[in-house]
Order: sequence, then structure tokens, then C-alpha cells
Amino acid sequence: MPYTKDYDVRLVNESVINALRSEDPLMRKEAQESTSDYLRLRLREDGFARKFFNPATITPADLDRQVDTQKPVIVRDMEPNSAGAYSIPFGTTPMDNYIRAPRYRVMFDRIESRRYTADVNDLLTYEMDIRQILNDFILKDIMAEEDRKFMLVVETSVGALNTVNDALGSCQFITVGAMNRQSIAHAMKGLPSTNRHLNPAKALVNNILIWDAVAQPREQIGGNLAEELFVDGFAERKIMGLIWSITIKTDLVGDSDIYMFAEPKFLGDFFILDDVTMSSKSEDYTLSFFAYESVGGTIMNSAAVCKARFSGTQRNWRTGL
Amino acid sequence: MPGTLTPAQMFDHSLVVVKGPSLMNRLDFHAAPVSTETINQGSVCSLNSAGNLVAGCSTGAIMNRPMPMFAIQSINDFDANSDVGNFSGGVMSAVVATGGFEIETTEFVAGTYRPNDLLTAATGANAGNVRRCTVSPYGAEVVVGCVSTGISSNEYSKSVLRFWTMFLPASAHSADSSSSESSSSSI
Repeated sequence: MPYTKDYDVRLVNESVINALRSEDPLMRKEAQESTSDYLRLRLREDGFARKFFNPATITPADLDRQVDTQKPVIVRDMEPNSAGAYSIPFGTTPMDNYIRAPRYRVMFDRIESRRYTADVNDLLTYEMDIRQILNDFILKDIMAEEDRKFMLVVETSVGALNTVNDALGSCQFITVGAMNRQSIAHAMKGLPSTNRHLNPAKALVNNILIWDAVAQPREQIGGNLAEELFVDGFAERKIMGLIWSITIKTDLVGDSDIYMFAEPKFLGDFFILDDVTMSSKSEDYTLSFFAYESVGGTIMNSAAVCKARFSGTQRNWRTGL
Repeated sequence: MPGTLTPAQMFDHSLVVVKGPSLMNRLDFHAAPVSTETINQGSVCSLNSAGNLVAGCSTGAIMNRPMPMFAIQSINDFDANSDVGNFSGGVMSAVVATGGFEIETTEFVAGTYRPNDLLTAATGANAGNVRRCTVSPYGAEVVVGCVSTGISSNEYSKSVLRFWTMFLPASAHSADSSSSESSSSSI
């Protein structure tokens, strides 16, 4: 194959760099906004943590103040619990109960990429679309960190394997045996088995485990689905009423594991204080840029998440046995 | 009877970089702290062998001398730690002693400090504070700073110690050298 140069791409690179370096604030703004728009689009497509919430963009007016710190925080109310009803004979007065409800705090920190810097003349020598490269690696770094932090809290919530969470009256992480129709259905019982009786709405698996679903025969998952999966492979879809999301982040989601989440209103919060922003700076012949975001998220209802492992012997959600 | 409670304030523990590289270009470092440590904003801290931040700065071992740093946040600030169930936190940051800073910190052992006094990292109950050196550099104490103007009272009437950050590793200078020579000669 003859060696050719892609002059169109090089022209694009040059125009982007010129825009970023421009003294004209309108040109710089345009260049930064174009990369910011791109970042936000890919974030919705690629980050999985946000899929399980209804992310909300907040403003400084939404933040709550604290006496002992200037750090941003939001104080949220939690659903109160009632003391229950009881039977009494006639002529008996009710017992009193004082009204109170728990609260919790949503805290924020920042996720940012490294600050990438280069001599602009070195950037001009690339034959590929430099915008694509730069946006891809920066965004992937930020998304990976967001997902990593989300999964750390998920893992803390589900606790140890085959161990009953006394507060919920059931396990949140069990083995369900090899994947088949019955074990998938058994995994679905995880959230309803707690004393809060939530139903799963979304699931998360990795791109390795999903091939076990594709491999399920017609008698296990039904003729149409089996044929469709065999021909087309797997895309995000509903199985047993549950939306299965597939991630390639196998370091965060194990090859045998499925995570199930309740509806966002039961799960927690995802607040965006600063959405992904690209900051760029040009000085003489150097260009530097980095991206950052500031988000606060919680999983405050541990009954809204569970994990099943398609291996070992099938355990009972309520007993772990 | 009037109120007797004194709530904690955000300026109880503070680090102010009064001179040195600008915020976006200064030499700082971030790492997960050891959760059981008490590290306040302005505390001297360092990395342990696992790469986690701990209060204080030990003398280390031959050819392995912890680098002193000064904490930018307190260990339980909301952006460095968070309530159970939150995604945020887990990492704190510090300016590195060799970064060319003059700093003011509330985290020091009370005493008399004169300009040019060398400072070291206190230990035990005072871990995280700095104090005057009691031996010469490259001796039994790691030097983490040199007093510039000394103690003053800041705008919130908190005592702060102002000094230049620096790093002169502790102890066994000769041992480190001989180890290096021994290593070189064995090649």
C-alpha cells in the first residue's frame, strides 16, 4: 500500500490548534466548546455509573452551608420510617411517637485528567485526527475514575459473599450457579428478598459474561431471543424486565458477576457540580490542556443494589446457605 | 447560662502557601492516607512504604528517606473523605517540602522559634506537627523546614509558624554514603 498523507486531517489539526492559541476570545471559546460538547456526548455513551441514576446538574444555590467547613455539600432528607400499628381494646389511648427523619450528606470532590502539554509544532506533524486522540484518552480516564469510585461504593454496599446483612434480612451477594434460565431468575430475587422489597430495574455485566447469555440455547431463553443473539450478538436490552448494561471495564466488573440496581429514586444521588470541562492554555509555542469535573454521588440505600455470581452452588438470598 | 459550645471552624487547622509557585504550577502530591492517622491541614506528613500518607516524617532507613510534605486538606475534609455511601474522597494532597515554598501552618509544637531555626517532624502525640531541631542536619532528625519569620497570629487569632520548606534527610549520612559506595564498587 502506498504511503499517503492525510492533508485534510492535518489541516483540521492546524485549525484547532490555531483556534486554541488564538488571542481572539471568541475563537478560543469556539474551540473549547467544540471539545466540551464532544466530551459530554461520549460520556453519556460510555460511562456506566450515570446510567443507574438520574444525574442532576446543580448550581451553587443548591449547596448547603456548614459551620466547620467551606467544602460544598448537599444535605438530603431520607424517607422516615413509621413505628407500626397495633391492636388495642376500646378505651385505650394511643402511644406517642416523636416525628423525626434521617438526613444524609452528599459530598463532592474533583476528577481531573493529567495536564497534557506539547510544542504546537510537534502536534502539527500528526497524520491522524488529533482532536479524536486527545478527547478519547482524557475522557476515558475521567470516565474510568468515575466508574471506579461508583463500583467501590457498590462493592461496600453488597458486602461479603453469601453473608446475611442483618439490617436487610438477606444477603446482597451470593453465588447462583452456572448461568441458565433458572439461575438468572434466581439472581433476580436478590433485591425483593430484602426487608425493603425493592425490584431490580437495571443490571450491569461485563463483555465477557454476556457471551454466556449469548450461548444460552433456545430452550433456556426462548427461540426468538436465542436466534437474535446468535445472529446479532448482544446489545443493551431487556431480559426478564431488566435492562442489562454491558461494560468493557472487566477490572471493575468480574467475568462471572451481575450487579442489579433498583430504580434511581431508591438508589441514591448523582449531582453534577461541574460537568466535564476542557481547560486549555496557549503560551508562545506551547499548548496545554486538561479536563475536569466535580460530581457528588451516593448509594444511600444499601437495599437498592445486589450482586450475583454465576458460579459455585446456588445459595439462598435470605440465608446465604 | 450562656452557651458553652464552641463548634469547630474551618480555620482551626490551616496551611497557607505565602510564597512559592502559583497554584496551578506548584509541586504537590496526592495519595490515599492511612485512615487511622490524624492529619490536619498544615500537618507535616510523608509516605509510608505502601505509598500511603501518614502523619509526621520518620527518619527512614539507609538509602530510603521519606520526603516531608505539608497537607493541603485535613484527612476528614469532605473532599478527602466522605460519609459512608458517598463516592467522593479517599485521596488527600500535600505540597512537597522541596517545592520552594514559604508556608504558614497552625500545626507546630508550641515553643520559641527564631529566624533560621531548623525544623523537624515531631513524633508520638505530636505527630503531624513541626518542632525545632535539637541536633545538627544529617543527624538523628529529618529537617523539614527553616524558620523565616517565626510565630505570629493570623487573622483568626490562631498561632501560625512561618517557614521555608526544605528537606535534609536524617541520620547516618556516612552510612548512606558508604552504602552507596559499596553498591557502586560491587558493580
